[in-house]
Amino acid sequence: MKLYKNTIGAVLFVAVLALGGCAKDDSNTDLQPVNQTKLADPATGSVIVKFQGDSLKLKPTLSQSMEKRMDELEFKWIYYQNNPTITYASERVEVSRDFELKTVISGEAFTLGEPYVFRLEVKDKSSGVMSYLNYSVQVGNKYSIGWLALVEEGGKGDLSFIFPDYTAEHHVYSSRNTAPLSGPRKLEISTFPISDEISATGKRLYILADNGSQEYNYLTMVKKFDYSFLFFKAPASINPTVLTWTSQDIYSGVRSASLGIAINNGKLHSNLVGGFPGVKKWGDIAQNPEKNQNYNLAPFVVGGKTFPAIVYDNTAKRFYHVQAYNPSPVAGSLEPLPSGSTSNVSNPLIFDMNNVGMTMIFQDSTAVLYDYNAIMRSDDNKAYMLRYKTINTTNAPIITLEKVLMDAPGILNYSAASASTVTPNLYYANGNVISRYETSSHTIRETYSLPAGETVTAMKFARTMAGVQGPRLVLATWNGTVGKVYFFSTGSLGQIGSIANVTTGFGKIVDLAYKY
Amino acid sequence: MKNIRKLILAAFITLILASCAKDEELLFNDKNSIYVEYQDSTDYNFAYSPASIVKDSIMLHFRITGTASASDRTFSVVPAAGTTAKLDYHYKLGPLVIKANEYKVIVPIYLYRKAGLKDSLLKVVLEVQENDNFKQGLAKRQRYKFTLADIFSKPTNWETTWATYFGGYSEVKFRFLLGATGKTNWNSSPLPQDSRVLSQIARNALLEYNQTVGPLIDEFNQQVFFP
Repeated sequence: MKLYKNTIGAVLFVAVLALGGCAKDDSNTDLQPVNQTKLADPATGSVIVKFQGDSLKLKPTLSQSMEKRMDELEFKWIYYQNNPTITYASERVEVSRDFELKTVISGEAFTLGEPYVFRLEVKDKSSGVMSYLNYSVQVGNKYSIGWLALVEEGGKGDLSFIFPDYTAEHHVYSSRNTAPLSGPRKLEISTFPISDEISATGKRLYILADNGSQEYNYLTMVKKFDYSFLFFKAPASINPTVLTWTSQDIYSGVRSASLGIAINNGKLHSNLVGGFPGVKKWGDIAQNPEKNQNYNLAPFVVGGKTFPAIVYDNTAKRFYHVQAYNPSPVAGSLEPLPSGSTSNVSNPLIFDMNNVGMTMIFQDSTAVLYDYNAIMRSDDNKAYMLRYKTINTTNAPIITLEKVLMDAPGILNYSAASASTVTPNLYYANGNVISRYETSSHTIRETYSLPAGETVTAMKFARTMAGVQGPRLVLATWNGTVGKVYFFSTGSLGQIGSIANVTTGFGKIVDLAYKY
Repeated sequence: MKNIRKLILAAFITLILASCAKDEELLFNDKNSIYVEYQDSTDYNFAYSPASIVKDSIMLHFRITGTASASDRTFSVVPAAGTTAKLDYHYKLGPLVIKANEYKVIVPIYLYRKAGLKDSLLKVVLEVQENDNFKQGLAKRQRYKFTLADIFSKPTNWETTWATYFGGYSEVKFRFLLGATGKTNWNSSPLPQDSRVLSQIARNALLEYNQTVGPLIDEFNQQVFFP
């Protein structure tokens, strides 16, 4: 009997031990220390731009909480395409098992213009603890950064490219495209990626021309699509003046498209992009508030936080805003700016956005975010500046800022103009003379004469340029034989300053755009 | 008796030692699963298409959970209980294959305009079925339902989807929309960019009609307009 009891006791004891072995360990006492690895590299703080064919060498630094031999660690480098539309599904490719990476950005594996992540994984073989380090790599080419010039030569359009060292390459368009450009008008570049699912997410480049307007690859500048293809329903006549994307944000790091705006034949077409699936193209002609198409838009559009897009009708001589998305009134139609005693955004003592009564001849951004200056011609042929903003709040609902009769000789017949985004100045040209109109004092502060015989054909203000200290006023001129591009380093108050660089050998430059 | 005790002790010691075994790494190596990705149902009506259209298709989106594979993988979808349409007569399924290195696929379902659809509303309930490659995925995304008819009627989602764009329903208005837009599938929710352009095209078509023909009057003797 005693033996039987001992046996039962032993069995129960062992059973308790066995069941105890299955209990979850809630202990928070110290565990056996394991080696902690840490990877670092200042190069991860910025995007590494590599051309196809370049070698990529990455040398991170490794620190460990316990000194272990390198052969006790396991390294693995992988890369994947980091395009936001496919990131989670993009293939992870292993490229190396060494601590330092040395590989080649081969043309077959890496798509031009696409962003990639190179990731180093380090694993302690004994503990399995892992650390990671991500590098952002952008596959670019020599046309990634610089000035693009749309030129007219022998009745045909072409592209020239000005590199950061101010050397130029000409005939960039004709060397890689077969379709001739006739009547080149304007360059349109999106400075932030567009996800339209017509092609891979990325920046967009459009060339507007009398006919044959097209979308081009942002980096190779090879034709992608005909103008008509970019519309759900192709316009009956092609006469483009605007094809651009507005953004609610100003800073390039967070910018994304809120609304695509095309103005063709004076009519508005809009394009809604976003995270939803499906192909996005420009829509059909927008109707005005009278539910017809009797309007003619000026070739300018601005956008902001409150109003994704504001345009101006030179027929009704008034502003409209365009909704990004709402079902009724239909998104994409021209709508009056809010008015009435409770929601009016216009101060009638300044001007009424819905009843301006003048013709818009120019519009540009300013040194203040979301503020814009419009140059208007009155019926009695005088120049006015209208200042307004595209953002308002309940506490500050008024968006009209100022209406001023301009004392700016020649502004109504300007050949090129651009506004500073650093100081309150508007630059405009008549022939070879550049005038600086200060928008705070509303006076001409200075004029500058380029060599006689040269006419300014295009003008852009560059707040920043790669490798350059301070802003630049960039002017294109034509003397009947050759085109030049002047880079002026402007002063702290916006003074035209001195010529910092000149690049020559162009055809007649129609438009300039800075690519970055 | 002694032998039995030894055996019992040996068994428990084995159990104790087994409980000390190292856990396997918690890596995902389970069988992949597959599910219906976007919309889970639609109502298709051939009456919205010209009589010359005898075949059409709707697209069914599938997505997998798990990892991509180096080779193509088939999956299985079968008609479930409640289905009244005949497979391979009223409808056919496109290839049920997840391509190598892919995570999703769009499968066409081919629809056929059979005479019986003039007076019958048929129903199809498709269900993901486990096969060698995939398990059933998310519990609420295993089925796709659609109805098939050839009977002119107000779209079932007019009030919830289309009324905001086009206002109150009338047959004259709807037939005008069919002609102006060419859209045939009105019983599903459109993507934002599609509803925008449909509305714009319809408004411009009505503007042109009013300018060239005159007001469009519906069966309630009201002028057709869009809000």
